Amino acid sequence: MTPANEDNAHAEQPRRHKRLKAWGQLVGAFFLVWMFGTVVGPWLETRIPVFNKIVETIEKQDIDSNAYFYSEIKASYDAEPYLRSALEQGVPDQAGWTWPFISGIVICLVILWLGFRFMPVD
Amino acid sequence: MANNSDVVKDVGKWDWSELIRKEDWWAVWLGFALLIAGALIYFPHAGEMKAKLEAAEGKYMAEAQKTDKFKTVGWFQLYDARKKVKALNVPAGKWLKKFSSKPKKWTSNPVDAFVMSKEKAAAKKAKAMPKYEAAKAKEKAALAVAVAAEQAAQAAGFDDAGLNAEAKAKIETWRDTHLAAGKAKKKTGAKPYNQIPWLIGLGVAFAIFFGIGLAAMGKSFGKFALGFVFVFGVTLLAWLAANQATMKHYGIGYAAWAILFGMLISNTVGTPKWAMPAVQTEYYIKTGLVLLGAKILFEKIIVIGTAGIFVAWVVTPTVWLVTYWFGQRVLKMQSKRLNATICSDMSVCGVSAAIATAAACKAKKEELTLAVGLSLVFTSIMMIVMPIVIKATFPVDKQLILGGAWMGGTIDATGAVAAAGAFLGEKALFVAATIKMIQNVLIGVIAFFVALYFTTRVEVAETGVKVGPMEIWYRFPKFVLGFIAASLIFSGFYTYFNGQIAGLGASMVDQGVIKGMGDLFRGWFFSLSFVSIGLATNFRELKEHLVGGKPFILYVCGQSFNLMLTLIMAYIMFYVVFPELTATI
Repeated sequence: MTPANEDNAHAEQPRRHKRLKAWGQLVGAFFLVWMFGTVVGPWLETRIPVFNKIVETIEKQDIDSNAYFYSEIKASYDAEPYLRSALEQGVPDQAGWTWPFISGIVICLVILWLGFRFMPVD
Repeated sequence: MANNSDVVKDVGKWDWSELIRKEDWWAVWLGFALLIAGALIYFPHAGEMKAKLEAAEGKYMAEAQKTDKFKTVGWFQLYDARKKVKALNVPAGKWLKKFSSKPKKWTSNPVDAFVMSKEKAAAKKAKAMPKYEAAKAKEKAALAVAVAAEQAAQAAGFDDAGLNAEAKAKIETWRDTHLAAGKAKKKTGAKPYNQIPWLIGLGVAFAIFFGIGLAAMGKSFGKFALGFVFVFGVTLLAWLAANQATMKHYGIGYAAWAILFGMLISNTVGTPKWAMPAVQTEYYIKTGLVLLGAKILFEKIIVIGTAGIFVAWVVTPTVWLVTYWFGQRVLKMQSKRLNATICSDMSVCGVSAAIATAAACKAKKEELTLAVGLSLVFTSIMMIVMPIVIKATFPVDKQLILGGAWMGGTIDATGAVAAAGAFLGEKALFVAATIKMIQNVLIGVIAFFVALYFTTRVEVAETGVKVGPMEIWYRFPKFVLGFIAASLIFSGFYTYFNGQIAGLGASMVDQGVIKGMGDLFRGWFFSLSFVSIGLATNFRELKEHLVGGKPFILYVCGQSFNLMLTLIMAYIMFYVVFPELTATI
């Protein structure tokens, strides 16, 4: 073995060690996720008060508790016609585009305009 | 400071060639290509859907309008019949759903997320069948009792308060059994599946879809396609984790897993160089945001009347601005963009609002990561704690409406709102989900104001140069225009269809273009962008923003203010100003 090859071999060893360590960390992290999903998480569900009942509701009603937007939740679509027709039938004078309703939108826009105008920029 | 590629931005001098050379415009073209395809697939079925709705009205309307003293059996039957009319049930819609399907829910064996054998599906079905039969029989019996009670009330001309109350109670019992039977029926529909070929096909389609734009922008299609294999693979892993049963219980969704897995890879073994051409955070995010725009349907804000608009549209911007001011003046946060992104995810609706705001104000990737992380942690906590607090402290008669409104206005993510609401009861679920839906619509307004504020005021202060209207146009994030245009166009369609017959807007837009096209792909695009964020983020860069714990303090103080103001406003609106409205829910 030439001196140059010997140097390369010496340099290769810590590099390989570093690489193995990195892969170890990655696999270890995935293992922890796996453990949470299959062992720790289910165990914890039974220990946090009321949480097991919430979990029961999620499973029973098949709720996607991971959803980020209304359209991912069936309840949004169930609620909309329910509330809309309940209001139209029960309090028709308070349903739809009433003046108090429009005032709510105007107030929202005024608040945002004030913010746009006077929020700090420095 | 991060280099330019770390910023969700688009700044440049205007040139018509930008329309085919700029990422923002490509996001608009690609987003609209999908939405137009959706409209072409579903809108020709409007006549068919309208006929179904007319048939339902013909069958149940007279019964539904028998009295306004309580919701009759006919009222609920009409409501059920309208819900079943969905444009996405056409054959093309079913195919698209299959094509874009994510890994399925699984518990302990990840293979279940991709493959289910005929035998296993049959066993599942057989197991669910007796429960369904029992639930169906129970529902039938409850319906007969409800009909008899209603007839008794009708015989008294609906003037006997006792008989009315009896009928209302029996109808509510029937609805509970109806709901249970519906859930039981769903479980009998287990079918065998093999997701793997579909997922491969989807990956190839996405590579071509995004690759075309990149090629037009002068980048290598081949290198992108190669890198996309890796990015798509990590995205699949994120969906696999998100759809694991326990993760669903805790509300830990794809955004968290996509960022986490991306960061784990980049900070341990490193993101492979050959994968980097497909790490295109802004490109995926902006395309997803244009699709999100189509879901921001302005007519939806009228659903729960004035009380709802005040809870969702007056409290939210107030909390946003006060929290932003608090971050700037009291906490003296260095980054205005991080401040704004946290304000949106905390006060509007979590991850979706954070994405829209970060892109509109050109926040850094780490800033978006931090805001999303904070939101996810607090969402899980609030999903568990809030129903407990409501049950323990609210008067029983106010738990459903007031509790639902409070949770809908404050818990960030819609899924967690639904889970917490359902735990309290169906009315709480409906109120909570609706308040959240109205807040979701506010994203468009907030994103526009944020883009305007940062373009015309913050950037001007940062550069010290006063700018004219043309410069504002150069700097304005163009995809926001696509996002707003999609919202206005589809809001118009929604109102137009609803003008023909009640429920047609929901059938054609909600249950057509949105759920049958936009939603199928938007989740994928956002998860691709979150994986890209993770793959390009260094733990050290993230740590810089955590110094002093300011983001955490900002979130906690802002959320505390949000909780207080939402509760006060919900009480005033639902119980002081509009009690009749509350009584009808």
